Amino acid sequence: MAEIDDAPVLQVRGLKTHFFTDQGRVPAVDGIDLEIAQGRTLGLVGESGCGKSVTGLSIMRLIARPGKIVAGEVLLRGENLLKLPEREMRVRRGGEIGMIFQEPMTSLDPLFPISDPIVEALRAHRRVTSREALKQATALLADVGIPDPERRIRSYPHELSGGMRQRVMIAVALSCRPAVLIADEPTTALDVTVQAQILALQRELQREHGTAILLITHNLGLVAENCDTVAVMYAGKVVERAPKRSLFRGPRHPYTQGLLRAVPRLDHPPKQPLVTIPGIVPNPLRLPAGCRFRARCPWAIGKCAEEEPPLMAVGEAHASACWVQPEFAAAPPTVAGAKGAAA
Amino acid sequence: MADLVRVENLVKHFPIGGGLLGGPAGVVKAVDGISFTVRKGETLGLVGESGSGKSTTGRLLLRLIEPTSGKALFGDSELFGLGRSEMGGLRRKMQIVFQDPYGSLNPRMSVSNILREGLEPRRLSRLEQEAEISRLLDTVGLRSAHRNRYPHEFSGGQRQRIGIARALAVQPEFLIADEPVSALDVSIQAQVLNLLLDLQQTLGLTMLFIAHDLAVVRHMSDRIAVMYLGKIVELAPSERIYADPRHPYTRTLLAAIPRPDPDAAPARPPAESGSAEAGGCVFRARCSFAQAVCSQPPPLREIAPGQHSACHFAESLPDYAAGDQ
Repeated sequence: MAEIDDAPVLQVRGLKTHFFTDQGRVPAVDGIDLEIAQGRTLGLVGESGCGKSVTGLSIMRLIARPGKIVAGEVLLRGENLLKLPEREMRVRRGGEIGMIFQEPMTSLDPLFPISDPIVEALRAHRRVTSREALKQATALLADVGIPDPERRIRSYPHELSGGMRQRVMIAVALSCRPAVLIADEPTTALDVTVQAQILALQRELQREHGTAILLITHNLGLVAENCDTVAVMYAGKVVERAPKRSLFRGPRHPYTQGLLRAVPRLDHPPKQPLVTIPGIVPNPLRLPAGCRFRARCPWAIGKCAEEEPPLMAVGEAHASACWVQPEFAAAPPTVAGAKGAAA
Repeated sequence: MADLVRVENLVKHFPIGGGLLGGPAGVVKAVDGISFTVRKGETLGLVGESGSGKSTTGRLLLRLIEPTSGKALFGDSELFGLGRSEMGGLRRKMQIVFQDPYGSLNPRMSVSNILREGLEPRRLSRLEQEAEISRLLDTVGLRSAHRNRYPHEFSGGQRQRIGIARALAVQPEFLIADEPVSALDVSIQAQVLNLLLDLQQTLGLTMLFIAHDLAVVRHMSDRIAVMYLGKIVELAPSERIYADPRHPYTRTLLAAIPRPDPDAAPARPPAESGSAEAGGCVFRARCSFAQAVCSQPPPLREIAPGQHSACHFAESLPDYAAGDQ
């Protein structure tokens, strides 16, 4: 088992990634700070369009036009990746930071057997012969739980199930023992029983190699199960950051509180109305002044419209960007029913 | 409660191509002999993973696809025997809401025209139509002022509301909701689920709620049918499915769901599937309780009041403590 060193392997500071569209500038990621220590998992949660996937791609420097990283630093063991020439970045990518995506079929080339991407990754980052790379690739497939790896390594992507393809992607991402793994909705396209297998595998490999993982997901169950710390994003900002337990037991941002209340639970009585977050996310081209969540927030006060709340410490390693910082147990002031609020 | 829908031994086999001379090489048993009823005013949940046959079942009931065999009664009408025009009449009493509202709404039609189509069979006057469109939009929580907008001008959650309004326009008795919230974000999902619960109460709708997410299905349903590879393996009141599941697959499914609770045990992955032998219990290859007798197909039978399980060992499975996996 790998030693856990609490110094962060990956630090993101003041990251801003904006998209310069024909309609105007979209601040998809708008000044966020994150850090992950060796062997730890940071969950990045939020709903579609909040900027969580763009954050992952920014760390990998995979932002294409019209997107651009306009400010900030991405520090890998203290080295700013955003300052590296592309040639050097290519060595880090795959070698020191691996990434897996939601849909393994689109990230595997259907024309090549699955051995191909693994061998390619190994040869790009390690000085090994093709024969040695193939041997290592076979061993990797065995590591990620693919039965009969000697035969399977010659399979093409379409011959494998979704779960098996995602295992191959994990094998590719982990082939060079990266210090950091970015997993962007790695199991969203999979059945729940297969998801459980993939995440158990990911946790096991993390324990073995001490990988720092950024788990990007919309699923709060996966966060509770897999993460040590959590950052919640809303409209391009991190609105709350906390150790997992504090976040689930005592969330202090009204958006986090709303998300936790809105999820149907297996242990709640059926057919009871859920507490909802009224309304929808703001148009990123016309973000409101002040707090970006205020139009949907039952706690909003005058100050929320005037000044954007920064992340403020509310507990041990726990920060929330809210002027009110309500306690989770407190009932929110009543707002107009969710039904009318959607239009 | 009277049954509105009664399904008996429904079968749908899809041929797989690639056989000799382009003929079928075999069949996929998408739905393989299922029976259930939906009582008037209740929601029956249909839950399962990909390939379980849950969506096929919904489509069969609407006759969007034709069954291989089996019977389905809607009230007193035998669905599969009906001719085109009779089925057309019945279809007004049954509506479906799909997962992707964008794919199922005509992008070239304004919201009011989409709804007007649904109102046609009711032969309302122009004025009555306009009033009804306003009322429908209000029912699903959309502004009447937005009636002349087009689907792409709405968010995903709003589009799903339009899909629901269109289904309601024909005043159906029976609504099939096929993964109605799986494309939506958590906060929007809760809004749409509340809307469906609300509509069911106010309109007395009977619902078949199909989804892969057991927490969502349980939240919406009075009773739940758990499907696996074309079979119903367990059918029970929602509370029972969670408190005392009596089929090993239901337990596997429950154990695999990660709970939004930092103190819950991590989800437990199921056993790797062994080689699938033909015949017998469909879950046998992955089942830790399987024995020789499981090569005989277990019928779905009532093992406690209202609780049905298709497992030879339903009564003798170890006690189940909910949440404690």
